[in-house]
Amino acid sequence: MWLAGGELDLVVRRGRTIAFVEVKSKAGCGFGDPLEMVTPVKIERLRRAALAWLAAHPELEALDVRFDVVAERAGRIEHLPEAF
Amino acid sequence: MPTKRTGQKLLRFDRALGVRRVAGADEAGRGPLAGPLVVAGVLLDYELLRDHRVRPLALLNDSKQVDPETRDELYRAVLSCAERVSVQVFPPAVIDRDGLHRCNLKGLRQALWACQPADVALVDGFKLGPAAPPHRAVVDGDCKSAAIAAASIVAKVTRDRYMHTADALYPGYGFASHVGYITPAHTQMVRERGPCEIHRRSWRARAYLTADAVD
Repeated sequence: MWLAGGELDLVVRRGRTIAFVEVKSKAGCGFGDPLEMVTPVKIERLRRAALAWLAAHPELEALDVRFDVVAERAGRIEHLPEAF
Repeated sequence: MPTKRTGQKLLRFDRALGVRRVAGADEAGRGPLAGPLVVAGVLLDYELLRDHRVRPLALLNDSKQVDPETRDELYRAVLSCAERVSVQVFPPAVIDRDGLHRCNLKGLRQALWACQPADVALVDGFKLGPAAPPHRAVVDGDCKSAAIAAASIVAKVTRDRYMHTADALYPGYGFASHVGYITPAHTQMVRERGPCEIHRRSWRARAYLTADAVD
């Protein structure tokens, strides 16, 4: 979903934690590591989108917020919790 | 170059809160591959900051919007005008261990606790939870509130000065020019020479390094 100029791939809640998850897979080959596409600019956009999402869900305001990345790297699915 | 109007706008925002003491907190160094995360808090007493006393803050602006010379000037201005200034530094190893967002929130909480007694405490971005003193989160706070903008200046200047020192300690990586952020030259250098002590080892660094260089 698109919010405040950024796109949120997944919003997951477990207990008292809410995780905003960025999903990256390698599209084609020769473009380097998919994690390289998670740039500081992209991260700022995701933080903004998360803020906008939370503003729309005031009942979740007290939850802990986390940012994760799930990436396909070298044929494996890698989950990076607390990525940024 | 910021205009005085920007500073006036930021000061008006804080004054419109209708209280005497306003605390603001912000950070620098979320994006880089190397170096610490620096979080600063500033307490401004608007009862004391009247007339000529507030003049040094007239050029206040978000730390990203001003050139280094103006930033240094504003840094001095903030230190001369503020009631309290607090700086928290999170070294790369701690960021790797605890996570960037978690360090960031912890630093902002500590910064606001250090800037008491505040009548209103403001933070840029996310709410800090019940472990923080009572506060309000302001989206784009560094472009809205003078107290937050002042904190962003202190955080940025403190971090940049450290990275200039780091350039002497770890020569060749270009820390004095990019202060740890991603540039083609910085990435190239890390790939060739491997990371140094102050490079973050977390996932994003791994994306820029070969697997061998990280282990």
